[in-house]
Amino acid sequence: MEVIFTENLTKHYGKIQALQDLNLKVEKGHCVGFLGPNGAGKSTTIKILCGLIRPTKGKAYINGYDVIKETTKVLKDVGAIVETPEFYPYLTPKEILSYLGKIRGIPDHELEERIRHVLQMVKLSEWMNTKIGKFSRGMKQRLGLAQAILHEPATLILDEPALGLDPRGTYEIREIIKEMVKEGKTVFLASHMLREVQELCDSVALINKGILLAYDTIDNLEEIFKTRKVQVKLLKPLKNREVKKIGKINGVHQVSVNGQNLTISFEGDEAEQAEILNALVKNLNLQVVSFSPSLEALEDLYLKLIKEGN
Amino acid sequence: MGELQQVGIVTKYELLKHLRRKRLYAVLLIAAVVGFLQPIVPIAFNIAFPEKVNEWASSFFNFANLLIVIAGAFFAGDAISSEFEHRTGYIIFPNPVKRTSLVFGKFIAACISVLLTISLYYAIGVGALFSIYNMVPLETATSFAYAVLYILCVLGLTFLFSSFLKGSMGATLLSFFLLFLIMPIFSSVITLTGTEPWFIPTYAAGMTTQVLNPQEDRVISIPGNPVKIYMFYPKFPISLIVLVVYFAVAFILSLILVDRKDMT
Repeated sequence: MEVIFTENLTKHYGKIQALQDLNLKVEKGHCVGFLGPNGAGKSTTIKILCGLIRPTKGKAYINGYDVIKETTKVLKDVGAIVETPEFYPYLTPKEILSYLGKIRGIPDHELEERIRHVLQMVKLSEWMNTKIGKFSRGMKQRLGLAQAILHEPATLILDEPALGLDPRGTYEIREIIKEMVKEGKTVFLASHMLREVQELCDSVALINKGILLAYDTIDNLEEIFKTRKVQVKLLKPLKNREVKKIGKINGVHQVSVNGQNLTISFEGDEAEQAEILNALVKNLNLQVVSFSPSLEALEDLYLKLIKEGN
Repeated sequence: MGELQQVGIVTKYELLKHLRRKRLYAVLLIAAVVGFLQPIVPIAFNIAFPEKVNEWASSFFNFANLLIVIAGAFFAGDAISSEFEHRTGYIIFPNPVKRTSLVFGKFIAACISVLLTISLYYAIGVGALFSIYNMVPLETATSFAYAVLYILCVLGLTFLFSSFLKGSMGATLLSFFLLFLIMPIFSSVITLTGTEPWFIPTYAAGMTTQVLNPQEDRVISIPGNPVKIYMFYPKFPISLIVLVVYFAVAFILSLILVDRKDMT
């Protein structure tokens, strides 16, 4: 069942075309990364989905409800972070969450417990009674996530949720979103942080200049665009002849070396990746310390598509 | 969650905003200072009060209209525009609450705040009238009723400005200068031509004092000078209708604008 569905969604700001005939389907329980450079149309799409702006043309539905005609029904089961959240500076986190919770009709006895829980999740319990006016950007971002998950929505629409956060904050927010994905929530995550998307999402929609360039699972996209890469850390630096031998392994079409770190571009799926790793250990007698799918693959794909789009 | 309940919640938190930002205290202080100074200053400087109670009452409550404009601009100027300007709309709008419910809640909160201010001013006036004249004219209640109507009219217009202007400061200043300067000046200019400015709300709001100390329209001719001076005074029921129409049209327009405005 598709939770988010858009049909020829178009938005023009005067002469500027922000979105052009966007057709998207996000299935229930999936986490979809919405990737694109600044000004690609990510926020515009999210704003339309949240009923903040009206499309020039086209339709958008969440859980079968029209986001323009049935906005309140749509938003009942949606938690959203749109752009950098700004809160009323004269309220405390506890008060703003109480306000939003009450508007959503969460009963008082449940609301207090939920507020404590979400503030604990985003590590803001200590500041629950401090006026938001004194908060840093990162703290507001955390509070933004807290308000998005306060009512335990089945669908999360998140626009750059880790924007302005330090590395630790980014990690913590990512872990919370991971937890949400595990719980089976549908997540639509707009970002230009590839690591975030690669770690959290099973599918990626790539957008540039308001046009959807690609939409598929990360594996499929890498397969289609032959951009699969694996990063291997070795115990010792490689010799030149060893690099040449790796290049000759079946499926490998590029090898780049940086000290003990090796990035192998190859053609194929996980089975090919296993064979290559096996060859490194068994045939070349290399001592592999660790390996991980390379972020560069998605980055290559992203840049390739954006370039083609331009 | 019913819409009415949501309006109530929005009202409660908007009132909290007015309290936390100390604007309410500031306006209440202005009302109290002006209210107390009016009877105290004549006593301190041995200036005699007018013989007729209604005359002094009319002069005292004349300030109420200005107070309504100040308080209205204070509480309503940024009610809508700040959600767009300060981007707090990104938090409040993606909730299952109609924008019209948000506007209603904000309007009621602004209304309560201005009403509190005006009630304080009228209470001081009633106290002063009783202390000085040992009586309070019955027409004070009618004057208060017109003041309430003017509150609605001022807030309706200010909400309209706050809905279509991007900046809170712009909406606040436009509301203040329009109601405090531009409309009264416009009324005076129209009066010069011998036409009664019955359709201007600031003129119609003169009913707050007119009911206390009724005046007749006059034309003053200066011998040897072709120029005539016209003096018009607001009348019932046209002034009442004007205030109601301005409030209704402005507020409905504000609701429509907010509902259709893009949160970009």
